[in-house]
Amino acid sequence: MKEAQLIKAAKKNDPKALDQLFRDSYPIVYGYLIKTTLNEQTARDLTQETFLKALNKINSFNAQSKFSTWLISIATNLHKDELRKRKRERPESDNPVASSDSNVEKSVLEREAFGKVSEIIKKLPDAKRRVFILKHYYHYSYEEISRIENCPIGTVRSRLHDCINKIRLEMEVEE
Amino acid sequence: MNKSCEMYQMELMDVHYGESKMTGELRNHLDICEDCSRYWAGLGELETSMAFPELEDPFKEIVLDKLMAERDNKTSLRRNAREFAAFLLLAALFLGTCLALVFSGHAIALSKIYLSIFMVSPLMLPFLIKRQTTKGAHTNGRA
Repeated sequence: MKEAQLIKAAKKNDPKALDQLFRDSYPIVYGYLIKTTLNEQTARDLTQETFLKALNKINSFNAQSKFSTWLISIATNLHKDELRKRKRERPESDNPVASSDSNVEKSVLEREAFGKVSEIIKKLPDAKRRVFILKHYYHYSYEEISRIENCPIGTVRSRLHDCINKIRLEMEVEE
Repeated sequence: MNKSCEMYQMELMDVHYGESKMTGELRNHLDICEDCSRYWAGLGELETSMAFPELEDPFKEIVLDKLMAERDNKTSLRRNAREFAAFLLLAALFLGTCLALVFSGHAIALSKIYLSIFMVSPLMLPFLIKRQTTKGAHTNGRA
């Protein structure tokens, strides 16, 4: 079944369609959140919250964008909320979600031999990091990112450019 | 790096990410500017140096099961709410009809019907039970 048909059926409370939609989108949302938060547990919690929100608001999805884009928007807003919440709880931390070093995070993010990449990503400021991840790993257009991040296209471009410069600098330092 | 180089680099970034096409002007600038050609080469290297494999969540099924349970819970809540609304509507209709009958002077007849229902129903109970047991035994015998 095509995505549009699945959404139509899910809006009519078809459990199979909803299950299929969630299964198809799970890796994208989880993958995006694990790169953004760099913490397995936080990524899983936010993924669950994202789908829960989607479940409650599926009737408001207008199908102007892809279903996964809509989910990424929800995930982005939840990530922003989470950062605000943690900042209120621990105001001394600059990058509270990403810098959390739980055992779970270490177990996967270090085991998988991409610790260097996650270290570099971790150093990017949250808003810029999200833009970089959306563009570099998920190939969203500037327009889509500006809608997801709720900021002008010019800001998206400058954030991405900043990220690239910071990453290049980090790479040069490591070399 | 001057201001115009920064502008060129942003354009190169657009080209790299498929937002615009390579122009002659950009190509000419790359030929003469070392900074920008390094930047351009660096963009290409990002693809390999920043590779981040997709991670599979080992708890995916648990999370999805929880979500589906939530969905089922939501559906049953909705169904309960719908049934409650239907019950309220039917009760209101019934009471309304009774009140209408009372005010139109049929109160005694209504009371008689009520009383007969309350008196006849318990009397019918043994018959109903007997019928149900016979039906059950019949079904078991066939099985």
